Amino acid sequence: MDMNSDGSWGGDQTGLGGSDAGRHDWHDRHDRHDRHDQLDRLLADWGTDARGRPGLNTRVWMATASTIARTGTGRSARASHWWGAGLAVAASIVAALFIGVVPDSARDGIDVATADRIDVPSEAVLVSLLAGSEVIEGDDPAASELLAADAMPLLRARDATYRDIHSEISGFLALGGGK
Amino acid sequence: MEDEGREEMAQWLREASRGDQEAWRHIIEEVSPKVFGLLRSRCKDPELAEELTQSTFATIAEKLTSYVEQGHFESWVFRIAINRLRDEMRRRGRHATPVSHETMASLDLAGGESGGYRTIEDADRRRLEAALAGLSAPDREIIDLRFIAGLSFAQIAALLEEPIGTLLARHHRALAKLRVAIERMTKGVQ
Repeated sequence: MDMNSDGSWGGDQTGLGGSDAGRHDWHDRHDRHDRHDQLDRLLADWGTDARGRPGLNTRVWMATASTIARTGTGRSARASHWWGAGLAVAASIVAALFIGVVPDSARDGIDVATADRIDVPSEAVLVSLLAGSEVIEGDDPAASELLAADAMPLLRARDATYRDIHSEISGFLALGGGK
Repeated sequence: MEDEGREEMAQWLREASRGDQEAWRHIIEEVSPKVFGLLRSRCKDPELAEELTQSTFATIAEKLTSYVEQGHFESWVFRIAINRLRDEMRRRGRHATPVSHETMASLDLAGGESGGYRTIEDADRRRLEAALAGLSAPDREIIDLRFIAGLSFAQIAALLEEPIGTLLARHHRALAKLRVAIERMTKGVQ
């Protein structure tokens, strides 16, 4: 088998004819193609490296998850007011019944909370706040519109003693027309 | 993004807009590394790039309920990210322009203390980044969007609001310049 002028063995491997110029052009194009592939691979790997940062996805998710959660609940914001009001009433009833079985020694100053039924609207709100629900607002008669500024002292009272809670509740009920 | 990928993204977007955390996590996994990579390639600061990535996704999360998916989600995300970066650079009084060959060659774009992933040799990386630093801003932009952000030419056209033909020509020219620059460095030509 004869060596070709370009150093390859065998017959014409380019399929372009027997001229040296033809075979040189073929090799030149393939060389360019190879270099193009090499650069593409290099750039692809470079891009992969550029995107790498351990823990990135987790941190982005942690920074945005609450927004998505609110987005989901926000779609039914109007319904959630009613839901929240209903929950407030339910929590109120449960809390009032719970407080109703508190031992005698703890009952001092919490007469207002020992009733087994809710007949003062503001009381439902107060007991709900003690039970841990959010500020209640809505058109439902079982709930009362409560300004955030007024709610804050009551929310803080959750960490106080029953006597402290009673004084706060009494003050609020006085505002609401209760005893 | 192929058709199947687009369908999957559209589904995730619908679910995430209804508060589905798992769908939102899928979106983050798919897109946030690309956003981070693009920002990092521009500002050279991995901490800032991550901060702006989080800011971008915070905005996306807030606007998700009003977004209507028509196959341009990633372009929308990158537009926000690039605007964020531009605003930050303006605020800091810096300009996001390509730096000198020498400066680029001394920078470690990925890996190092940031703990990024390494898939290419350091020498290849340095040559490539030095070559990239020699590109014009428009040429560099299309390389970044193509190879870091992984956008198709159609998505890049939507993002940059330029004709696809122009972008293809620019891309071809940029690759040719890179090839010449790398070959010169490999052969030791100044």
